[in-house]
Amino acid sequence: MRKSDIFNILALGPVVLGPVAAQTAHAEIYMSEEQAAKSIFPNLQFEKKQFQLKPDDVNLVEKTSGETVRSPQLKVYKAPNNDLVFIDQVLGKHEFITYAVGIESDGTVRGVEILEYRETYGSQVRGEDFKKQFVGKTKLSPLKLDKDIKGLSGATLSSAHVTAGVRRLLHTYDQIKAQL
Amino acid sequence: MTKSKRNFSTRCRPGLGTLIRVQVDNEELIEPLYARIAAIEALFNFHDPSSELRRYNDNTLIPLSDEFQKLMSVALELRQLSHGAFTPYVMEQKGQHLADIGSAVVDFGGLAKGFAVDEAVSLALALDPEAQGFVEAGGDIRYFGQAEATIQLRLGVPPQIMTRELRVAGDFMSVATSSPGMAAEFGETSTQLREGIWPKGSSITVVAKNCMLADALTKVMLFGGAKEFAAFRGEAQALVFDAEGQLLESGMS
Repeated sequence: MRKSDIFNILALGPVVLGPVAAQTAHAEIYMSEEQAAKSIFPNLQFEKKQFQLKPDDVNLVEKTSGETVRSPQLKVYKAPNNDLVFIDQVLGKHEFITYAVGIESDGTVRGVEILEYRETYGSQVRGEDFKKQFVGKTKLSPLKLDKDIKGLSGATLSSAHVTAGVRRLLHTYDQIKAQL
Repeated sequence: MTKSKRNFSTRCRPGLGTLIRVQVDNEELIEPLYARIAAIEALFNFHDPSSELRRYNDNTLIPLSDEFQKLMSVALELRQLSHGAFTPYVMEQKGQHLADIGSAVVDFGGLAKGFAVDEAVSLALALDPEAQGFVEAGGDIRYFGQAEATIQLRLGVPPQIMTRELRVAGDFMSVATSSPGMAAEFGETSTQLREGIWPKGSSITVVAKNCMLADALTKVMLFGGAKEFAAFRGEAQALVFDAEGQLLESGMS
């Protein structure tokens, strides 16, 4: 096994590898709430509303969905036919995710869109031992493409939490549809 | 159709047990791409009782889809070439011997994400041959319609994350990454229980000509090392990083 400290751009066959850099807080914003509602239900007009779940409703949602209700406040976009788009947030292992779920008036999921994905640990990386690794480091390669295309590494737990959130919101819709 | 100015749309939705990102300069491709990925998920979801994979594993006699036959034949070929470092058999993924257990239950977890990405890209180009962008499923990404691309590899173990830019070009536009952060997150959704041969905290990135191969070869490198990776001559490159993001191995197959 060969180990090398690489501080310069390294050409390795068909790929070029840049130097190591500390991760700063990483966030991706994909769309606004209104854009998400329009993406899920392209032909509908929406009214933004807030709902508050009563304690009994919270208990019932938790019981039927098997998921914890972290906040009784709900932010929704409501169409005249009672199709709804919920705006909700979940925490993955190290990621904070804002997403939208569209639920049709018959209680089925129409679509899910991630609105914002934000890693929560980037700003916490400040320990001395960690800093020592970057003595003499260069900045990231100045070579940039004009398209800013970044990769996203594994997010399986985040996806599971979003899916659990969708399940919770399906049951929540059941509880609030009489009030729509 | 000539596009003088490219206006990219990006979407991120849950799917395949992870998050699926699609970026493309033709918004009309977004729904068909996600639909294709959903169709593949319906076939190969290990935990879904109605999936083709589950019914196969339950010994239900069913005609197998073209996709299933393709993945099975690719998986078995990879298993042979890698001497079992890659395997679709769940018992072997857990470190046991197939012959001892006699269970032929399979899981395409080491292939299906990459395959879904490839299928989505093929569909994008079939619908719009001039389309540009990428499709990504939980760390497996494939670019299309462009000569080169740069991604940010995220290495190390959360919360100590380092980044390194990786530029790919030409035919090698598929990148798959297997990292401890991802392994920790897989948990019960993955059947893999074998220990890899690299130090704790290592990440493996494979660059290849298609995403299914890149995905599968991360397992070959993880469990078989450079020795087994060498069998895939000329088709891929593997980069192994330690927990500090330093390069341990850069095997060109």
